Amino acid sequence: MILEARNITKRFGQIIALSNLTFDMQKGETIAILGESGSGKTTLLRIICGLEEIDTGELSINHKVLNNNNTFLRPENRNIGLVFQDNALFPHLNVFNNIAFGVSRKMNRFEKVSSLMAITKLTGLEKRMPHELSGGQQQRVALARALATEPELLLLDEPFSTLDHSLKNEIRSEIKDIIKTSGVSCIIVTHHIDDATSMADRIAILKDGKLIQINTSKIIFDNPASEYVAKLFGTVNQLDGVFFRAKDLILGEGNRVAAVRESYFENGLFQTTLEYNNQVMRCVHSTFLPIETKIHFSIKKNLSFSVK
Amino acid sequence: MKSFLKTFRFSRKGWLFVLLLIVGIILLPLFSILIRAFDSDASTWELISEFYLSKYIWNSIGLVLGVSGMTILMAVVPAWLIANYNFFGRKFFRLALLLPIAFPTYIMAYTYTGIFDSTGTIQQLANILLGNDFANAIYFDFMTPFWLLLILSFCLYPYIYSACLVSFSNDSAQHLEASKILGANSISRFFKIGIPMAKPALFAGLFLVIMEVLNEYGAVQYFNFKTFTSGIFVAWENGDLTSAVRIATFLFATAIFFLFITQILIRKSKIEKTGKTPIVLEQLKKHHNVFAFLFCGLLFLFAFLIPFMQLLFWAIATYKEVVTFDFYLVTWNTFIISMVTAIIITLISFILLFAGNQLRNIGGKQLASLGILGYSIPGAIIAVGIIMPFAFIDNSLQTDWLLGSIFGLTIAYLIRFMAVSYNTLDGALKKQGSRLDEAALNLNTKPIVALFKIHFPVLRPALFIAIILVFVDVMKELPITLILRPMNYETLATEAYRYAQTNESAMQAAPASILLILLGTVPVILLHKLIKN
Repeated sequence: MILEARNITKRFGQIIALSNLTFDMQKGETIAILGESGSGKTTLLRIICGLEEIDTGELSINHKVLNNNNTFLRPENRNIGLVFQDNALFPHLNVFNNIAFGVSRKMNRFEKVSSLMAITKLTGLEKRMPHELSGGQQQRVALARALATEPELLLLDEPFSTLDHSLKNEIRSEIKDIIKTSGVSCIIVTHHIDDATSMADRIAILKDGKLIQINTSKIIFDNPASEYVAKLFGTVNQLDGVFFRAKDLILGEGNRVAAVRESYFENGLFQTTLEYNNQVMRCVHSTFLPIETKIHFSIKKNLSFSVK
Repeated sequence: MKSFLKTFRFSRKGWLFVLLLIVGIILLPLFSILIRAFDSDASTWELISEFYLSKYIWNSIGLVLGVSGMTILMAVVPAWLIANYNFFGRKFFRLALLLPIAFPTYIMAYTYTGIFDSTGTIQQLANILLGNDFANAIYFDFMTPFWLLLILSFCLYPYIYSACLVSFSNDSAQHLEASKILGANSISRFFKIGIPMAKPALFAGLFLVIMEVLNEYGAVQYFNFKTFTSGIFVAWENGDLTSAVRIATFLFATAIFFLFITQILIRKSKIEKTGKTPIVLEQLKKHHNVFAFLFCGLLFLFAFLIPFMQLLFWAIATYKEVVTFDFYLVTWNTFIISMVTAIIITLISFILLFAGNQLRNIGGKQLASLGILGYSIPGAIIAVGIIMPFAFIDNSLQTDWLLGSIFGLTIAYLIRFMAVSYNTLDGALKKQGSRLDEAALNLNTKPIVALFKIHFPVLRPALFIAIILVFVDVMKELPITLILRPMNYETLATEAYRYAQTNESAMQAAPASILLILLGTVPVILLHKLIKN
């Protein structure tokens, strides 16, 4: 086990940022912390790397206590890497020196940095200043810099939020490869479900400072702990008190008849809105359905939640 | 004629004429010096060049380097501590450490001399409390270059302190956090992140310090330390204007040299800052807290509190004798000339700025920026440089309007302090952006109408600040006032300097000095507000 968090609570004045949080992660594992703004995910990240202290609970890495009531290990002594949301590259240092910043002079800095530059496809950019790099290149420098200290745990804070959509998919897959190649354990904080599902082995869902569910994306998708969790993974419909996913609404069969209220083309399918007994449902359909069309429907699978 | 004036007033040619006229006046002393320097009528030049010139050069350069080093040491550490850490007294020190800038250097010099000399406060106290032998044992010669250097540094370090404080406070917290996570401890963060990122601000502050040291006259004269400015005064007092001008040429070359060096350093150290996460102050604990408090506390104590309390003590002791009708007259003179000059300079710099903006596509901004060169020209150069054209105009017109007149003095102040108001207004205008101009043009408003209907009201706070800053600078100015003032015309600065020159009456300089310092704190408070915002 690389990281153990036990009953972590953190308050900022009257606001409880994290409440009784408990989880652990295995060596080499990647966990995504998923939640909306204010859910406490960035606070958790800052606590793990030592930029905030916990109020109660215990946090340890490789069985070494980082923070509890009696101990607080300063960030510079934790050996945890962090890639900031906007990369936080040092603007006065070139690419090489940014990556070499945390590498001890006792180590072979040049070889270490050069090899990381090769892995992150930055070779040739050694002398460039941060503002001379593209968004994707800056991201790779930030990642290389964090990996250069050979951290026991790597943290990524909203790593793709500053990238445009076309670049994001490319960089995401590159970074995933680099992380897997390096074998480092990793925590990614994000509010994008796509980032979480594509990068992480497990996903931890935070809401109002509480850990609602932690598991693989498949298990969470199939058995979400709450309506909130279910909605994070896509559209959820509610009909006569029954919850079900949009994909489980089957059109053209069943006894009930709904009226089409809207149908428009998006991502290769028609996003369709139906009305049944004054209740609205959404689903996707392969063909266009004119408004006011009456169509039979059935529900393939219901969702049930353990948390209200 | 009327239609000509109308066309002229609103045309680009009109703005160009205004621009050239202002810049021409600012550059007048420089041209004058260059012409007069080649004059053969220099009765004492041989003596000066043989015995004194090298001393002037090395002493001036030595003083610049010494004060530069000392001010950096004094300024950077407290700026870093105050920007990044919470410690006992932090909020107080943020303002308090700016206060020594209100101390004119010659006042600091004579105050400290009064504290340390053989009949000074320390000796008197030691005599009374611990006896004559102890007093003799602790006596040391205060009038040495080291103490001059320290005194100048006390007065000038706030230039670097304020620049660095703004720079450190504007850094993104993420850079410091990133360096922490990468293993950098607090000392290494200071040297590897803080200092390199603050270099442009540090060098900009250093440039001001260097210009102030080269402009320095009162304190060096008091310590009998021979620099360019003291040489200029000696030659001028001996009636050898050509030699004064020649020394001024050397001083100007030195000023340009340092200007060039600092500008290169500023340009080379400029960085593209990214991100802006506000800095969260880290609470200092135990001995770190004590260290921060002691560093800031001792600096404030020696650079402001001790000399200020000494002056206050002297002022209380002498005010009945000194604060007479003449003192009120001098105070009134000072207030009137400083205020009127400040308003004129601010209005002219406003016009210069606007003219430069109107002609920006033909290099108007660059031409206008020549108008602020005066701040890089030490006061003594401006004073001796302006004597010749003033005398020429007065002689040609058979008048005494310029030389030795308030009007002439005002023009010299204009040349010297134009940069202060210009930079204040320029900063405010840049914040406002070009959108207002564009909106006005889009609404078919002529530039001259936009000037009065839009820019003037919008820039009113900046105009007010500029007037106050120039007011205080003019009030404290010494070399120009000493050389160009009308006969028997005294200001608070010349009055304090006159008393301080003679050790016997040094205490009597205190009331004028206190008044100068208190008025000098006004821009300090304004500056502090700007830094806080």
